[in-house]
Formats: sequence, C-alpha cells, structure tokens
Amino acid sequence: MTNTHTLNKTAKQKKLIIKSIMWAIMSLFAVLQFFPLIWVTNFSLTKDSDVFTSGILKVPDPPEWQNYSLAWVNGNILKYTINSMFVVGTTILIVAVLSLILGYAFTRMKWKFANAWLTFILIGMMIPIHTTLLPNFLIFRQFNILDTPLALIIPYVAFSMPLGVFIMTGFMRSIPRELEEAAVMDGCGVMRIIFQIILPITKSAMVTIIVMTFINNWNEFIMGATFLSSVMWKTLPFAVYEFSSQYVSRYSVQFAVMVLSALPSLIVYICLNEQIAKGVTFGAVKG
Amino acid sequence: MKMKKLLAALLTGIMAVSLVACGNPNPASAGEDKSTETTKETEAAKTPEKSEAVTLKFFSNVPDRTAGLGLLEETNLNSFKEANPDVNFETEFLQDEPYKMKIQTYMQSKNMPDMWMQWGHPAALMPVVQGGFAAELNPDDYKDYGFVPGALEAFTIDGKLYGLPKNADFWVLYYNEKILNDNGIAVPKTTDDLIAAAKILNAKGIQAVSLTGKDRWPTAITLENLILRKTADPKAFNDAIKTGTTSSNEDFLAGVNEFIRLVDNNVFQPSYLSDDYGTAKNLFIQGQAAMYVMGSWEMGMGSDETIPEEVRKNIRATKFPTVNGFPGTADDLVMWYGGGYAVSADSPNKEAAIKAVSHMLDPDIYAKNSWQKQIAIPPMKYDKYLTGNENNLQKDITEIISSAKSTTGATFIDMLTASFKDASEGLTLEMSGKMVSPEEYLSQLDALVKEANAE
Repeated sequence: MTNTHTLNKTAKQKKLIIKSIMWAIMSLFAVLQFFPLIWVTNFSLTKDSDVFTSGILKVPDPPEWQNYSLAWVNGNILKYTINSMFVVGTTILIVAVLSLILGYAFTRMKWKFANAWLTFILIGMMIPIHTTLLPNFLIFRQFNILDTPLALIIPYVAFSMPLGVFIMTGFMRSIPRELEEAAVMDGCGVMRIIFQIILPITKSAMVTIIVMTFINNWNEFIMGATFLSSVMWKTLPFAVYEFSSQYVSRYSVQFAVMVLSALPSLIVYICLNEQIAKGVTFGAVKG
Repeated sequence: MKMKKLLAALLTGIMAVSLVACGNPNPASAGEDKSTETTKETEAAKTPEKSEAVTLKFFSNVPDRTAGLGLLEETNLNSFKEANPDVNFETEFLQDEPYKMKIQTYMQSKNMPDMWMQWGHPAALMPVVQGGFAAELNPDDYKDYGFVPGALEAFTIDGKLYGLPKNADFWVLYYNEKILNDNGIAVPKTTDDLIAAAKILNAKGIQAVSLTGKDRWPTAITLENLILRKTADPKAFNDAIKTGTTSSNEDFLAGVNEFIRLVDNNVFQPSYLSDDYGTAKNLFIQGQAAMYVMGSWEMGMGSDETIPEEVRKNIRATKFPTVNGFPGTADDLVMWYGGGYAVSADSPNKEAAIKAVSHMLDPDIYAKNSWQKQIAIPPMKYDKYLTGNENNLQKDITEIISSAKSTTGATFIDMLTASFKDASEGLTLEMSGKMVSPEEYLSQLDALVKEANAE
C-alpha cells in the first residue's frame, strides 16, 4: 500500500517536473518569437535616437504617435495595402479552389498516372524562386502581362499550390469514404460532393492553406520588384523598401511602417490561429 | 446544382476581375517591339507637322521622387518634356540592391529601358558594354559641359563613351564639432590623432568613427585611402591591381597594416563589420558616434531636416587623415565617378533618349541644382554656381576638393570585372575581421586579379 502510494507520488512529481520544463521551454520560445515584434512596436513609438540607448526596450515618454501618421501618409500604405489585398486575395481564392478540386481528384478518383501527377505538382515545392525570375519575366513579356497583377498572381498561385495540394490530399485521405458513398446513393454529383460534402469537413485544412498562402505571399518582394515597374500595382513590401531609403535617418518612422505592414498578417494569424494548428496536425502531419 | 452555379459564378468573377484589373494600362509601352515596327512603317506616311509621341522608359535607383536627387531627376525630365511635348517618360525606381537585381533581369532578357542609372568604371560598365546594351555617345557633344578631367573616362571603354557621369565622389571624414569640442579633441589630422580620440571617446561610451562593414565597399575605400597615404602616388595601387602585383609591394602592405592598427585601437565602432549603411550613418547623425567616414555625397546631412538639429548644425567634414611617417598628404584624394546615365543601344527612340540624358546633365540645370540643393558634387566645373550662402559643411567639402593635388580617378574594387569587385570587397572585409592576414590579403587579391583577367 505504502509502496504504491510512494510510486504514485514519484510519478506525479515526475510529471510535474516534465510539465514545468515543457512550460519553461515553451515560454522561452514564445518570448523569442515575440521579441522582434515587441521591439519594433516599442521603438516605433520612441524618438529616433532612442534606438541606440543601452536598454533592450524603452518606455515611450510621451509616445510619438506622429511617427504613425507620417508613415501612413508618406508611405503610400493605403494604396499598397489595397494592391496587396487584391493580389493576395485573388491568389488565395484560386489556390483554395484548385487545392480542393485537385485534392479530391488525387485521393478519390482513379485515373492513369495520378500518383505521377501528384508527385509532379509536389516537386514544385522544391523549385527556388530565383531560378524562375528570368524565364517568367520573358514569358510574361511575351504575353504582355508584365506590370499587371497577373504577373504576380500567376507565380504566387504556382508557388502556393504544391503546399495546398499536399495539405489537402493528406487531409482528405483521413475522411471516411462512406460519407461520399451515401451521398452518391442519394444522387449527388461530383461537384456537389466536393463543395457540399467535402468542403465543410476540410474546413481546418482549408484555413491552413488560406493562411499559409497569405503569409507566404503577403511579404513577397523579389517577384514584385522583378515583374512590376510602375507605381500603379506595387504591393506593400515596396512601402518598407521605399520608405527606408527615403527616411534613412528616421528609424522610428521606418519601424512604424513595418508595424503597419505587419499588422494584416498578425490579425489574420491571431483570428485563425486555432484553425491553423488543427489543420496542420490533422492534415499534413497525419496524412 | 446550386453549388455548381455558385462555383461557376465565383470563378467567372475571379477571372473577370483579374482580366479587367490586369489589362495593361499602357499597351503602347508594353508591346514596344511591335509598336516600334508599326511606327517605322508608318513614318514615311506621317504628316510632317504631326510628330509621333514617344514614351521613354527611365530606370532610376532613387526611390524617393519627392526630394533630393529623385526630385531633381523628375524636375529635369519634366523640363525636357515641356520643351519636347511629344516625349513622355515612364519612370521606374527601386532601391540600390533590388535595382541591381532588376537591371540584371533586363540585361538577360535583352529588354533594357531606354535610359537608366549606370555605375561607371569597368566593374559595372563592362558587362553592359560587352552585352551591347549601352549606346555609344559622342564625346564632342559634351565639350561645353565642363566635365572635370577623368570624369568621362570613367564611362569610356576602348576609347568609346557609353554614359555620362553625374557624381564626383571622394572620401572624407565627417565629424560632429560639438562632440569633439566637448571632449577637448582637436579635428584629427593623422591616424594617431584618431587613435588618441578613440581612447577618450570610448572611455565615455561614445563611438569614435562610424564605418559600415556590411556594405563592404566603404571598408575597401577606407583601406585604399590608407594605402594612398603610404604610396603618395594616386595610380600606384590601381595599376598594381590591373597587373596583379600588389603582394610584391611593401608600401601596400604598410597601408593594410595601418588599417589593422585602426581596428585594433577601436577607432571604428565594435559592430562595424555587421552594421549596414543606414546603421553606420544613424550612429553618427543620432550623435552616438563622433566621426563618420563616407563619400562626399553625404554633404546633404548639413541641411537634412530629418536629422536632429543639435547634430545637423554641428556636422563638419575634413580631409581623410594622413599617417605619421607616410609620405602621402591629405590633398591626395581617393576619388571616382560612380553614378551616371546610359542610353539603350536598342532603344527605338535612341536619339530622343540621348537628348533627354544630355538635358538632365546640362550644367546649367544639373551642376547648378545638385550643388545648390546639396544633392551631389557634380563632375563638372561648378564654381560659377556658388552662391556664397553655402553652409559650413558645403564649404568644408569645397575646400577639400579645391585643394586636392592628386586624385585616383577610380577605386581599386572598380578596376576589373563585376566578380572581382564582389570577391575583393568580401576579401577586404575578411582581412578587416582578421580572418586573413595582411600578407595573405594582398596575395589573395593578386589571385583574384588573375581570375578576373582570365574571365
């Protein structure tokens, strides 16, 4: 009796220690992850010279809110944000629809070379962006779409789709076929099965795809700089680049631009963070 | 069924919005090749009183079009347009690094803009000339521009002129007069003065000299200044670079050792190897560093309203210090002609582009404004544009250039190919970080020259 009691006690203590270590490690990671964001936000509200103070952070006294108004007005933030939203929004829509349809085709339909095609699409994940810049530039020029949003949407979709298909196929494999069989018995067509039966079940995978596509493309600059030339369609990352060269000596205003341009991604992540975690654990990893 | 319709509507919507939004706003310029052919064909039929409107693409590395050089470029393009109403300009601009990347894409795709910002000297100019991208210009057209000797040479390869310089750049030591005075330090004249000043300033938590290592080229140019102090011959080091014979010269080694002595005595901020251009400059303009080594183009700091006033009004410049025991004087300048403009050899509107570039650099427009607005030191005679109202920093810079007895005309990193520039800058940084000894540095530099010459 006493022995069992002691054993239980030791086991409990062990559990507690492991839990504490886990908490310590997780907290450390959280701090490390969050620190740059906190730092940038902190110094976007201070005076320029405060960046060089010896302390890690500094209480803004008083907060320099005019840094934000200057960043908003002179940084073209609104125009570039609208452009980014259009380009990334369209990309997300196309990637989401294609991933769903392709995911279904690869996991549920039997057709020749299905696996080979799936591998072919997934290989896309291994292609570095830089190697595609020149060929894409030449092709886009041929099709007369340089300096238009299509010049960004097409490569963004191409680079985001492999990951989308990867997540979706993994997720769909875990959905029992009986559901669709029942739907077919009731006279459901393929499109209806995909959009009415499969889509609601794959919600968390879909959210993961949407968020991944958003985060990967929201800050993209290399393709933007290569394929766009006029101000008309420039996206948000341009604001940071252009602003930092214009306000080289105004660190705090630069930080304000960075905070403003990071805000949309942050909001998306905070709103959907539970779905993202679900999608990744249920879909990609399990699949 | 409902779902199907919804999906179809959604996809149609996406396509429609994309296509409408993606329609090229300026089909004439995007379909340049085709429209040019049409223009050529119809030229004969054209009525003499009606001239064809042309759009010239200009690619600049200055993203800020509302102030400084960017504003000057825009103003000059507009005044050209006023005189030539049938010419329009489409300006594209990117910051330095993305600019370099994109100009490569333009070159590789043989789709150069009509006119663009071009760096001078073989390292940058050679690829453009070898690829046949830059149009040849007639030096006689610029006889009256008053270009200083050596300026056009920076854009000349095999006796042919491929661009026009817009900057005369030389290395100076900027200092914060108040910080030096407050600490009882006289303006440093020699490297020993710098070391003595560093001791006093470092003890008080102030950085002595701010230098950027991350951008690499400023370290290389600072080193070249010290080598010049030893050789006292502006051509010696650059000539040795051409022939790959730097390691056999004791003077060069002495210059490199002097650089290491400055590093060892904490003359530069401790983080200089990883500090980029902006960080190094900010250390100085936020009053955290007493001095700053950089090119003459930073003279605009004296009137830059974004710099805190207590620093701005105290910024002065002096000649790069001499070295005790070295024969070189402070009047030997490391000077080069970095930026300029070039015109595309394949441009369908080459003549108009050449005229536009010539207009942009017309001394009465460019030399006058770039000096008076403190944008750059024009590579042409500008004494007639002095107003007498120059600030202290401008006066300092004028004094440095006007008392120069000899200039290098180029920097050693620009002497050979683009890959030599890249490799030699990296090697210089390794030497300054003591990963490579001064002796090894020079012999490896010679090896890089051999590689470059074999290219």
